[in-house]
Formats: sequence, structure tokens, C-alpha cells
Amino acid sequence: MTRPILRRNGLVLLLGLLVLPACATPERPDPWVRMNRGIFQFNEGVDRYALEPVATGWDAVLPEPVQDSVANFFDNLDMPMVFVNDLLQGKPVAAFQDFGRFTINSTIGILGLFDVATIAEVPDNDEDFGQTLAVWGVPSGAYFVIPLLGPSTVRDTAALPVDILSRPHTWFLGLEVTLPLRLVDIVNDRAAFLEAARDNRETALDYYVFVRNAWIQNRETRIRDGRAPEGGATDDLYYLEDEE
Amino acid sequence: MRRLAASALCALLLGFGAPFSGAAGATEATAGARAVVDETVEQVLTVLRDGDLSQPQRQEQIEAIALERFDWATISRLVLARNWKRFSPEQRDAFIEEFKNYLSENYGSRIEGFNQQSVEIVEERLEPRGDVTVKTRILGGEADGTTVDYRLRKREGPWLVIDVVIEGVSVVSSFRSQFQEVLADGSPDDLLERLREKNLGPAPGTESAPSAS
Repeated sequence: MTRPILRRNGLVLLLGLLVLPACATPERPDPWVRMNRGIFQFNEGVDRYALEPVATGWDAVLPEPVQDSVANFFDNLDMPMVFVNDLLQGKPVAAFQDFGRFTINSTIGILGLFDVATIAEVPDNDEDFGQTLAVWGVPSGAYFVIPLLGPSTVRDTAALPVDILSRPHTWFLGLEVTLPLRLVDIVNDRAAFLEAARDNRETALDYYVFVRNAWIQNRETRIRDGRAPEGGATDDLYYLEDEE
Repeated sequence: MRRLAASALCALLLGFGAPFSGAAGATEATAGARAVVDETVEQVLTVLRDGDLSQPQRQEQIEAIALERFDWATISRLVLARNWKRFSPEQRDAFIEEFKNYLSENYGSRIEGFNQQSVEIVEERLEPRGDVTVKTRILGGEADGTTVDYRLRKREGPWLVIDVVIEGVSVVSSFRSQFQEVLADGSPDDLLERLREKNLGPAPGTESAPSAS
């Protein structure tokens, strides 16, 4: 019992060094708001003038099933990473499912192009090292918009190198292959959200705040594997102090 | 806790998701709230699938359903939170009206494409202070697998929806954070003005032409 706690504290300490100057609290998740807004504007510019136009072309040229297969292919490449994090979070059932999913889709599903596992009703889990750190008790730290990559936190940014290393294809493929692959992944992903992103930009009163809030909420939900927050955690949202 | 999670996953793996959760809290309250969500979803899907209706007619009927099923006064208080006190009674009424219009203008049109989908109720849960959350999942179409949770509260009348949580993102929380930003250095009238601007919006069809899919 002592060892895991020690390990957890060690990690908290390590990450704490990064987190401390940020002093993020649930009420004040974004102490770097000025810098983040700047980076967000930059990312928006890149999206407007490069990513969105390319994704629009991609969407116009490639039929839906092809886009689905591209998404399946990249989801499958992520499965070793998901598997490792299932284990790190002590979820053997999920690890078993994801190992099966990767095996089925890589073979019968032809290199992951066809998601046979979902048809066979194998559940799809979603894990990465940032989520693992969260499960181990590492606080998120400040909200941080990564240039070109978008919303994140100090914790999740620090976890990114582990995510890259836990995808085996990065071990034997050079950057000249993995980088273009990643770009295809990003464009294909973006093509799925053309309309939704346009709507959100148009209707939000403050698009930066909208994205920050939605990203944090969604991230917290993914960390809890979609389960509801512990009892009382949402009281601030649903009950006001002055209410009877 | 972990064992519970594991058995839940096992249940899902074996395809026992629905009966497993149904047993969790089948009280009268959760059953009542579930029935409301069930009815509402059916009403909306019926309107969306009705090929005889024109787009504005569909929009109008969806809005009528939303007006009846949502607790607008509570939603407005929750999204304004501590700023609610800064609003005069007139401003409060104006806010409720503008916010209602804002949501139906901006979100009503988004569900147009949902006509090929169906919705399954996954489970319902009694919250500690008496609200009920009904978890649903969209099946089929582009949004396949998307989770939509409805939080309902009962005062004097029937169960009414006070929040919609899409993939973990609460609409109340989303608007609260944006309104707080506007009200941090703006007055209630500034916020009302911003909402009115948004409601007039860009002329329909300038940018967001509905895709013919």
C-alpha cells in the first residue's frame, strides 16, 4: 500500500514543479489567459487560412466511407497507447478489450482500415498518458493552449512525449513518415467538424471561453471514462447559494 | 470501486448494458423523469422525420416542444449564477426571453440533420438533492454514439429539463462561463445587447447554408 502512494507523491512532486507557478484552481483554471488568448488567435488564423480550407477540399473529394477508414486507421494506430494506459490505470478488462480490438482490426480489418471490432461489439476505450496521470492524482495544472495543437493543460502537455513513445510505429518510422501521417490524421479529423466548428464560431459570445470550457468539461469526462462526477461535485453548477 | 468499473465493462462487453443500469435506481422519481425524456425525444424525432413539414414549420414545432419541456426560469438563474442578483426584475424577464430566443435560433437549426437517427435511454440516476439525470445515446448517423444527458428537476408541475450535457459538456456551464466573461466588465444591459445582436445575427443563408445530405 505504501509503495503506490510514494510513487504517486513522487509524480505529484515532479509535476508540481511545473504546476506551481500556474496556481490553477477549479474556479480559476486559466491564469495564463492573456498568453493563451494570443496563441488561440494564432491557431485560429492557421485554421482559417490553412487547415479549414484543406479539410474542406478533403471533405469534398473523399467519400464518407474513405474518411471513415482513414479515421479507423489512425484510431487503430493509437490502440497500443490506449492499451499501455489501460494497464497503467489498473484496468485489465479494458486492456484485454483493446488488445483484442487492435489484433482484430489490424488483421481482419486490414491494417485498421475497417473497424471490425466495433461490429463485433468490442467496446472502444479512450486513454492516454495525461488521463493516466490524472487517475494517479496529478492535478491538471493551468489550462494551456499549445501552438498548432490547441487546448491542453500543463499536465497533459507534459504527458505528450509518453503518448508519442507508446505508439510503436514511431519507433521504426522516421519523422519524414510520421509527420505527414499526423498531418493526414489532423486534416481528416478536421473534415468531420467543418459544420459544427462554423456554427460554434458564429454563435459563441466568446469563442475562446466557449472552447476552453467545452474542452475542460469534455476532458474531465474522458478522464472519468464517461462516468458522472462524484456526488456533490456539480452542486455549484446546479444550486445557487441564495436558493431555498 | 475498481471492481465495480470492471464488472460494468464486463456487462458492456457482454451486451448487458441496459438491464444492468435499469436496476440501479428504479424509483418513482427516476421513472417519471425518464418518461418525460422518452416522450420529448419521441416528439422531436416525429417532427424531424415528418417530410410534409417545411423547414420553418419543423423549427416552429421543435421550439414549441422545447418551450414546454425546459424550465427556462431555472436555467436562466443557473447560467447567470451570482450575476442574477445584478439583474432587475425587468432585466431578468428580458434575459429569459432573449436567452430562449438565442438557444432556439442557434441550436434549433442544428438538429435538422438528425432525422435518420434514433435515441436510446441508457440509464437514469437520482441525484443527491432530488434531481434526476437521464443518460441517452444517439444511434446512427454522423453523431452515432454521442452521449446526451438530460438533468431534470421537479417543482410544483411536471419534471422539466434544467440542463443538457453533450459528451460531458454541460450547456449551463458553457453559457455560465461565457456570460461571466461578458459580465466581468459589462453590465446586465450589455449582455442583453449582445444577445439581441446574436439573435438578429447574420442574415440566414449567408454562411451556414444547410448542407443537402
